[in-house]
This record gives sequence, C-alpha cells and structure tokens, in this order.
Amino acid sequence: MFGLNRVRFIARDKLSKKRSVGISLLSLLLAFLTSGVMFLFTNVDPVQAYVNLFGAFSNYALLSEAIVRAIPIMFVALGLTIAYKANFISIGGEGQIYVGGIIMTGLVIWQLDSNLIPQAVFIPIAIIMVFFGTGLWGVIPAILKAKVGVNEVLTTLMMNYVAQIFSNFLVIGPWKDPEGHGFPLSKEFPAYARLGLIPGTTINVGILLGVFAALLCYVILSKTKFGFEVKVVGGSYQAARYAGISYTKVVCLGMLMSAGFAGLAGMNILSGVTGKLRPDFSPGYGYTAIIVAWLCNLNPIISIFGSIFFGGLLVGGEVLQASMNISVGVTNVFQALMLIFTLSGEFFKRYKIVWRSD
Amino acid sequence: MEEPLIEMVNIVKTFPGIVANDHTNFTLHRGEIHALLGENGAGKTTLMNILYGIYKMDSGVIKVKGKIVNINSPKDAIRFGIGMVHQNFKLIPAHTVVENVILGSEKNRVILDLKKAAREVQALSVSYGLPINPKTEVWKLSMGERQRVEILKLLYRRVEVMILDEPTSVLTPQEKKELFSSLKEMAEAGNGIIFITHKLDEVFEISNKVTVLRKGKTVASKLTKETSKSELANLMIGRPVLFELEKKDVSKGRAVLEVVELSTAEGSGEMTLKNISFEVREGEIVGVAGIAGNGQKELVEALTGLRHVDYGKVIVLGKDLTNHSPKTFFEHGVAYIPEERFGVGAVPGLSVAENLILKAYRYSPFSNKVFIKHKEVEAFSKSLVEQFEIATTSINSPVKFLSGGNIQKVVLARELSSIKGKGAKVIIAMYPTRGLDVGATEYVRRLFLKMREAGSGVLLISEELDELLSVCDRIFVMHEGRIVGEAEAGKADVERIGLMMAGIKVS
Amino acid sequence: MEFGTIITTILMLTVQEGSILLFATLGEIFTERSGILNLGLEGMMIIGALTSFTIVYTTGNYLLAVLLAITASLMLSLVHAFASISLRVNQTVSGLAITILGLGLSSFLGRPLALSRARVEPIPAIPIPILKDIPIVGSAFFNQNIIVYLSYILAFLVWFILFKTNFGLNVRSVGENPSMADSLGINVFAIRYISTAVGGALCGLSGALLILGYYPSWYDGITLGRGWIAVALVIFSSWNPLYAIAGAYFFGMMGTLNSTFQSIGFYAIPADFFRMLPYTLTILVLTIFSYTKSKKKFGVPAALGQPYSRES
Repeated sequence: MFGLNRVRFIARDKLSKKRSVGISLLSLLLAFLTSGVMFLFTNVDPVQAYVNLFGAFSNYALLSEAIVRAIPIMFVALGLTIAYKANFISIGGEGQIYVGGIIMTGLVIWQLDSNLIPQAVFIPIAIIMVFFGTGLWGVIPAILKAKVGVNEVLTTLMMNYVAQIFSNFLVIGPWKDPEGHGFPLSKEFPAYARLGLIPGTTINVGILLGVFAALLCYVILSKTKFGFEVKVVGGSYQAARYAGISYTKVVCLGMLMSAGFAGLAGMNILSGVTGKLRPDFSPGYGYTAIIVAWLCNLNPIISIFGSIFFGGLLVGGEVLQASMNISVGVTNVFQALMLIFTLSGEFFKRYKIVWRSD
Repeated sequence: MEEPLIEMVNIVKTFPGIVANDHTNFTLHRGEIHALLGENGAGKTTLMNILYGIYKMDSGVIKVKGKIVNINSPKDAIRFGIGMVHQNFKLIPAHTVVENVILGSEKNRVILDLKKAAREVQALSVSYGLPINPKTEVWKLSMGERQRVEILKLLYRRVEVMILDEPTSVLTPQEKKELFSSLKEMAEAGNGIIFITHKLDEVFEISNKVTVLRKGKTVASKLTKETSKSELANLMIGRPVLFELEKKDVSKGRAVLEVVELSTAEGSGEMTLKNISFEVREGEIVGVAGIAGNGQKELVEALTGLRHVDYGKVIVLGKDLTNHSPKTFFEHGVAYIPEERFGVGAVPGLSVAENLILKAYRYSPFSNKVFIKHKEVEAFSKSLVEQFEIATTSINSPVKFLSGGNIQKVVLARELSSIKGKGAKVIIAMYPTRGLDVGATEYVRRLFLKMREAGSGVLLISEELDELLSVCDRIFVMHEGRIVGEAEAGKADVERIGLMMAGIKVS
Repeated sequence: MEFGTIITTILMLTVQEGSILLFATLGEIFTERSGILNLGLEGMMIIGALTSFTIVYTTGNYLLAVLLAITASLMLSLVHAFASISLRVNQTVSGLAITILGLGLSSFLGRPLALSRARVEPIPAIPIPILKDIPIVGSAFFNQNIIVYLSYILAFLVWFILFKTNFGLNVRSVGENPSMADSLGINVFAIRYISTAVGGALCGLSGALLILGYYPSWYDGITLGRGWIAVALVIFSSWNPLYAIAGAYFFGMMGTLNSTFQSIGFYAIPADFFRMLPYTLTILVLTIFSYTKSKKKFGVPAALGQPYSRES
C-alpha cells in the first residue's frame, strides 16, 4: 500500500478453516457496528432497530413471509452460482426474472385462448417452457463471450434493461387485461396456473421447487461430469483447453441453466405471489441474489439459508418502516455493508499483515 | 585508458534454490558494442535486470562512470543513463509512437507539446537510422518498427548505455541489418551497447567485445577479434556433468511418433516451424536441444492438438492425427507435460484428486454418462499419490498448496497413467525439471527412463544439455524453427551441439 | 402544436436529460480510462442528489449544496477505490455494493423529506442573449441553467486533459498497461485513486443537476436508473469524451421521447422500443468492437477491471 512503509502484505500459504470463518464473522460484525453507528447518527435507537429488523426470525407469520420472499432470490442465486463457478460474471439475474415472467404470462394468455394444455399438467409444462425459454435468453451473452470475447458483465447488464422494458411494455400494452379498468395488469392467472399454498401455511409450493432446485444444483456442480468441467473452466481457461474441455460448451450450457433457474424465479413471483403480470414485479431480487450467491460462498445448499436470511431482512425492513418510520432502504444499506466488509475480508484471507521493524 | 562506463563487480544474486549470478563481473566502455553470451539460465538477463533496477542484487558493486551507485528501479537506471530494451516489448498499442516514447519522461510539461516531441523523435530516428513515423499508432507497426520505438524511448531520455535482450529474435533479416547499422552509429557517438545473445554469428557480426557467462559466473571476457566461434561455443557450454543414472540398453521398436515436414505459416511475432521431420520410437528418449524461443513451444503445441499446422503430418502410433483436437491426441495415448505446470498442467484451485482426473474424468471407471464416481476417483488418486510419492496432506487439498516438485509429480502421475486402457505410449515433456530441486529433478529423470524401459517413446524438450546427454538416446537441435542437426547421445560432440544451438552451421 | 415548437421542446428536454447523463458519463470515462470499473454510479448519483436537496432545503445555499453533493459522491467513490485498488477485490461486485449502499442510504436518510413532500426552488435558467433567439435550437441550448452550460465546456475539458496533458497521458497509460507505467516511475495507485475520485465527483454533480435543475422535490429512487445508463454510455461512446456528448444527448432523447409522444397524443407503443434502443445498441456496439478484434481492440482500456500489483 502506498504511503505506509512499515506495513507489508505477504500472501498466505495456507488458511485454516477457523481463521476463514473468523474473518467472515468479523466482517458481519463490522457491518452491524457500522449500521448501528448510522442509526445513532440519525437519532434512531440501534438496539430497537435491530430487534425489528431481525424480528422476522422470531415470529411465525413474518418468517413465513420471509420464506416467500426468499424463493425467487434462491432461484436466481442458484443460477448465479453455476455461472460464477465457471468464472462467468453474469449480472443478468434481474432480466432473466422478467423473461421468465414474460414466458409464463404468455403461456397463460395463450392457454386462456386456446385451451390446448390439460389443466392438470399446466404447471409442469410451464416450468419446462420457462426454464428452457429463459435459458435460451441466457445463452446469448455466453455465445458472445465464447465466440467474440464480449465482456459478459456489460452484456448481461444491458439485457436486464431490455427485458424489464419489454415486460412493462407488454403489461401496459398488448397484454393488459381488457376488463381491468385500464390498470396496467394482465389477466388474472387461473387457478391451475397458480402455485398453491402449502396447506396450513402462507408459503407457496414454490419453496419445495426451490429446495429441489438447490439440491439439483448441488448435485450437478459436485457430482456430474459437467460440474467438473465447470470447475476446470472456472479455474483456468488454458488448463481447460489442455484437458480437452470446450469453453463454449461449458459456458453456454452453464448459462442455459443459470438463466433457466432465474426464469423460474420470475414464474414463482407471478404464479406464486401476484397471480398476474404487473409492471416492475421484481424489486431488485436479481441484484440481491448476486450478494447472496457471493456471501454463501457459491454453495447451493448454504444459499437456501442465505436466501431466507435476506428474505427475512426484506421483511424486517418493512416492519422497521411500519413501526419506526424508517425507510426500507435500510436493508439495502445493511446488505451493502455486509458485502463490502466481506469482500474486504477476502483480502485478509489471502494476505497477512507483516510489520517491518527496519 | 578512459574509465569504463559501467563496472559490475562481484555481483551475487540468488533466487530460491538457484544462484543466478555467482560473483559475476562485467565492464563496459564507451564505443563498445559488447556481446553478453551464454545459454539460458547462465545469468545474462538477470545480470542486466540488476543493472536496470528490476532486481536487487544480494551483494556486489555497480559503478557508473567511476562512481558507485544504487539502482533501485528502472527510473533510477534511466537517470544514470542506462536503458534496456526487453524481449517482450512494453508498449501501449493503442497509443501513438510519440505518446509511448514520452510517457513518464521528466521533460514533459503539464500540457504536452506533442508537436515538439514528435520533431525530436523524428530527429533522433533520422540521426540513428531508425525510420519511423511518430504519429502512427503502435498497433499498426511491425515488430521491427516496435523495437525501434523501444530504442527511441531510451534515446529520448539521453541514455548512454543501451542494453538489448535478444533483439534479433523478432526481426526480419532486413530489419536486422538496419538495427545493426543503428547500433554502430550509437556506439560511434560515444554510447555503450550491451547485446545479450546466444547466437554466435551475431557476436561476430556486430560486437567488438564479448563476455561469456556460464552457470552464473563470468568465464571469459575478450575482444571479439581475438577469439573464434569454436572457442566461444566451448566456453558457453563447458564440460557438462553427466548424472549417475542407470540407463539400460533397450531395443528400439516401431515408431510411436512420426513428424513429417511440419510447417506453420507466418504469424506476427511468433516463430514459424520450417519443415520439421523426425520420429520417436518405442523404448527411446529423443531430446530437443536449443535455446528457448526457437520453435520448441510451437512444435509441442502442434504435436498435442493445441496449434494448427499448415503443412505436414503428425502421426501417432500409425494414425494421422494432424490438426486434431487435444482430446483426440490424449485419447490416442499422447501424454503431455506442459511448460507451465501451475495454471495449465494443474488447476491451482482444484484438489489433488481433481487434478489427477483432469483428463480421465470423462471415461469409465471414473464416470458413467452423467455422474462422476467419486469412490473410483478416490481409490485411483490414493494409489497414484502412493505410487508417485506425492507429498500432500490429503487428496482433497487444493493443489496450489503443494511444492513445485509435488505439483509436477501430480502432472506426471496423471499423464503417465492410462486413459481408456491405452497407457502413455508417447510422452512429450517440456522443461519438466525447470525450477525443481535436486531430489525432484532426479525423480523425474528416473521416471522417464522407466517409461522408456516399458516401451514408451519420450520427446524431451530441455534447456539443459547435461540433462539431455544423460537421459536421451538421441538429441536433435532446434534453431529458428528448424532442426539444424542431430547427434547420438553416447557419441555427442558437445562443442558441435553448442555451435548448432547458437545457430552456426556445422556439417 | 406546431412542428417547430415540438422539435424545440424535444431538444430542450434532450439537453436537460443529456446533461445529467453527461456528467456521470464523463466521470466514469475518466475512471475507466485508468483501468478501474466503477459500477457504483447509480448509488453515487442519488447520494449526490439527496445531499444537494438537503442542503438547499435547510440552508438555501445552492453553491454549498453542489459542493457538498460532489463531496459526498466523491467519498463514496473512495470506498470503491480503496476496495478495488488497495484490496484488489472484484471490481464488479464492489461497484454493485456501492450502488446498493447509495440507494439504501438515500432512501433511509431521505425518508423524512419524501414524507413531508419538501420542495425547493429549482436553479433558474440563464438565457444567453442573441444565441437564444436562434430558431428552433436557440432556446433548447441557450436557455438552460448554469450547470448545463458547464457541461458544454466540461466534455472538451475532459477531452483536453486526457489527450493533451501529461497527467492525461499517464491516466490512459495506467489503464492500458499499468506495469509499463509503473516501471517508468508513474504512481499507478495514486492515478487510479484520483481518477476514481474524479468520477465520483462528477457523478455527484449529475445528481445535483437532476434535483436542483428539474425535479426539485425528493422521492425514493429519483435517479431511475440513470447511473446504469451512464455505464452503458461510456461503452457506447468508446471511452471518448467527445463522442459522449452525442451519446448522452441520444440517450437523453430516448428517455424523453416517450413522455413527449404521449403529451402530443402519440401513443406509447413505439416509444418503449425507443427506450430499449440505447441498451440494444450498446450490446451491438460492444459485439462489433470485440469482433473487429484488430490489435487495437477499439477503445476498451486494456487493463480495465484488472487489479494491479507489483507481483503480478
């Protein structure tokens, strides 16, 4: 670091699990403290604020709501995990949510007109169509990167906007419910196109699908040939070539899955929660999922819990707003601080500080 | 006599496990074009990197014009009037010649006067015979022209000592002529030129003084006109020490690798292969000698599916595999131990076990159509770790925590075990003992001898002649993309090989 | 409405919207030219907006408001700079964190202002005599507020600094080949910190212009994604400040066409496609640039997004 001549950073040659966990916890603690300071600074009682923010975890009803929020986050986070393992930095989760929603709504509208799909199998068929349809959307930036070398961060970001604008256009225009009194909403999805609630709870069955997806993702990444290829590609492009692994194939198939899962998130929001297409139906879940995937160390199983934690934060934020009149934006602050401290913590996992005595 | 421009006295520089400069001495006078000659690893580039401030010496004295100096960075070196043109140009392709030349110069004011700078660059280029258009963007320039920009960068900063590291490797014959005449002009103007090379021809073409380094020591420093090519070749190579290795007599079988008239087309800045033909038989170790950068990398890539060839054939075990994919090559029994063990041969973030099945994962018994069978992988890995004595705490530790020698063992273990039932019949190894300690080096060499006894054919590319002479049955020498000569290891005339490596034509 | 007036209105809105985008874009061009990718523009812009609004609301001092907006944004950008340059973390994720932080922080801190529907007086337009009377374009370009006038000059200033000064040459070299610059004695870290800070400062100015110029009341998320558009604009203008002027106005026009068409009774259907156009065009431009992969690689600073350290 320039300016400090006494301090040097030396790369570590091993990292004990204890130290690694320790650094992660320290990062979390710093996030807590910093937002605590922010609360004090604005005349808010930090203790009370934290109690409310994490209240979701003490209350059954709130916890259920947290899980409902967690489902789409989970799907996208799983998708991103696959992409990031292959070192493909996609930030297209948000757009993929919209594409999934578009495909689902389109399917419903078509079905309402033509009635060709038997109602009993409508949801399974929808899942397949949403998955592969959004998957194709996701393959575009993959091909552009593999064949032409276009930076995937920028392409996936741009595509998010295209998807969101298109989705809003559809719901304000051609897909607006003619009997909807002019509100920009699509026709209500019929019951067979809805994800029902788990009996006795307010949680839609999407959670089961989500957990299944997480297990599937885990199996794919750690037990299949493809998962192995993803790891090699993510580790070193040259080594992959040397080992006879096709970068194009891995990245395209990986993004197919990545976008497919994220598309299911969109389907879940429409079929499981809102029941119809609305403008801007994703409150930034695609971006929250990036943080979740990263903080959960690209582990699909941990992402289940990470998503629920973040879902709880979102709910807690609303509680905070209702009870203490604090903006929900505070959850974003907390998330961002966690991310920043954790990222910085990564540095200390790779290097240790050495004081020079000369 | 006039005092020397540069005096380097008793320079010592070590890296972990290697002494790069062992009390090396070097002196440069004004008007000299001084060739610094030696094999790879002799210490020439290290010595010059010390003079240019890129490395810090462990001990020794450097004097510039009689005064003792401390050179801690290239900026310091330039301030003392010393400049270096590296083999890999440090230029910014998107910027113009002028922008590259003046970057970071102390002559720059807040608002750049690009016109004035362009005029100065133009003047320098004319007076030293380095034709260039200052306003062109560097990406448009040929390698020879880019080299001129590097030289102009130094002339602009009024250096008096110019170090050139293997400058002719990227030039056409015409550009080489122009470079040499510019260098003569610079020397006549009172500067000192240091010319790092391994090509004996050039020593006699351009230099008036030559210093030979071998294994980090200065072995000779003479006026060029007072020596001969064979004397220099001998000094460069010395008497190699043959390792005590048991090399049994093994009968040679059929050819496992046949290379027929292999050639590649011109690429920018890359060595082209010119009509390479040779074969490797069962039970034979064939060595490829030569200074790195003479086409060995390109050859090896062509033999493993990583590079396209435009003409000629690569035949493995009787099958023509020219221009097939890497996968096809290793499925036909070609094992490849690459130069970069860390990053290509082994993936740093993956575990030992995962690296051991890097290629084999897709075949049974390690996987079926979709899944990897971890039990088989584990058993296989454990047996390889034992067999090859790989020092690791567990087969699941990331390979990046292993020592260099053990990483190489992982690569060897993987490459030499069978894929799809076919053992490694053809083994191509590139600088396999580079950077390894004595124990690991010996292990690797014995391993190749064992494979040879078992009937495989080995193609060994190495910079160390002693290694080649101890291990190989035959050696051929590569220079500038062609095979310039062959020798039987037992009856090898070292001097002859040295001359060939340095590009001198011998019968 | 007569045709001439429609054009003038479109142009005027284009200049307004374009100027907001231009500041942030110029700032990010400067940052990326030194090799640092800062995706935190949206967060920095909105913090700048909130800061300027708050200061005007409480003190009525517009100059102070703009200065503090710049400062606030700059500080946020320094967090990203520290993470990216000294700690060498993944710049994409770090930038994203800044955006989320900025959005959340502004939402949290601005809530009382949003609830009380506070308003301030926008900065007055200063018409330039004679020039403003040029038919059609006159009142669009020369009847704007002082910050907009500043933007006209700024693009040229940024261009001049980057291409005609020693400092600018150093910045560009650090973004292309930091190890070469380092070996020539240029302080890579200092240059990157400074250019990131400049990017932050200009982003804050964007935010201030947005609020004090055109939307002088606060609501959550008032920047509406303009920061992200600026990120796209940098690529679209090939990292060249002069092209950025055209790009900013083009994107600005796309942003206003929708509402303009509606206000004259021309309905929304094609306008949404106009809104998509900047993004699809950017992808196209990126692809073409990467495809015509001559050794120059058209404009992308070669070391963009890659952390630098002496050992690497």
